[in-house]
Amino acid sequence: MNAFQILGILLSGCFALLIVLGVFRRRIRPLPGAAWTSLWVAAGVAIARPQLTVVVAQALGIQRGADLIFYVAILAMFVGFFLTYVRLRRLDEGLTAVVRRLAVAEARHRIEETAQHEPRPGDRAAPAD
Amino acid sequence: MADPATPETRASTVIVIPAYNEGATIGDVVEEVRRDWPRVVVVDDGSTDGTAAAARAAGAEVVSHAVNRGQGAALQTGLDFGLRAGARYLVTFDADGQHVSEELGRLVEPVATGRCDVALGSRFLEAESEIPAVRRLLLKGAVLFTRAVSGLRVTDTHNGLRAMSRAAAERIDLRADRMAHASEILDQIAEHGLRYAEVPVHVRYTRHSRAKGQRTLDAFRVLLDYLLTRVFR
Repeated sequence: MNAFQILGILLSGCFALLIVLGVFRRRIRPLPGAAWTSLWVAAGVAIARPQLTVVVAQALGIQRGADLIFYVAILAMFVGFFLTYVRLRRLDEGLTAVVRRLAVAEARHRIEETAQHEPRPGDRAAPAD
Repeated sequence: MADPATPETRASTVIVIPAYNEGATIGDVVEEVRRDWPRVVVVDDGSTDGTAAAARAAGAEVVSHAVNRGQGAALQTGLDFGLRAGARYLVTFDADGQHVSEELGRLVEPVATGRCDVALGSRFLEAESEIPAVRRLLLKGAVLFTRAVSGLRVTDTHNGLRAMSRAAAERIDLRADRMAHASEILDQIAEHGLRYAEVPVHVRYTRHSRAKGQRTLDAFRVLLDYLLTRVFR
């Protein structure tokens, strides 16, 4: 086992452990937590036993393990982009809702204030100094 | 032709004008509209050029977005505000001076008399506006697209002049913050089964309205925005 493998396994193990801890402390939901833990464990296994990726690749009809990792990385990247976009859209919608609520509330407040300061029928004018 | 809107209709109609950096024209637009329609709400969409002050000075009620959120978002804010202000009829009107306020009575009349829930202004009916050739082509393309997607047989899909009843405005909920709202309104009219009618109107193509209007390439952005809005609705 070379230095890269040792470092890679250690890092993958640390990330997997952090996610498991996050799930137990209820900071990460169980389903995404399980998905991320599986991902880091798979990365650790692939680094420790590269020949396993060849076995999986050939089972899927791909010749080389490196190609399998490349395809999976591309796919993961697109899924990541999509999830980020969905999140961004939700944030955008939330921002619009906040801006709208604030704008309408401010306008109504201004109207009510103006109405309060307007003289009502029957009000006497203030005596001149 | 005599204006068909009664004084009661005028008093219970809120004209919603979304505006972004329209300080140069908004005062004139508001004054023109307020000659016959007293209740004008300008939604200042985060302008930095004094649009809100100019609109207020001209007599409009101003609702201000703290940051720019787009014309669709501003329209929905205006509709929300108008509904809370007790409007019976709501009209959307562009801020760049391209609409003719004298045509408002004709637009509101079919809604006020209950003949339809939403009246849509169309520049392609009897009143022919001087439309630049490229824009005419794009607008025709948008009409075909809308007919295919929403099934509405309209002749002008991107006209900012519309009138709707209170009940219709309560059902319309614009999610497209930017320019795709024009198609989204038509979608929602179809989805909620609202009765609609087209009313011939003129569009004034001034140097200012052309400069503020959509560029030809923006059509593709609007299309993409519209498709994404449909996917994520």
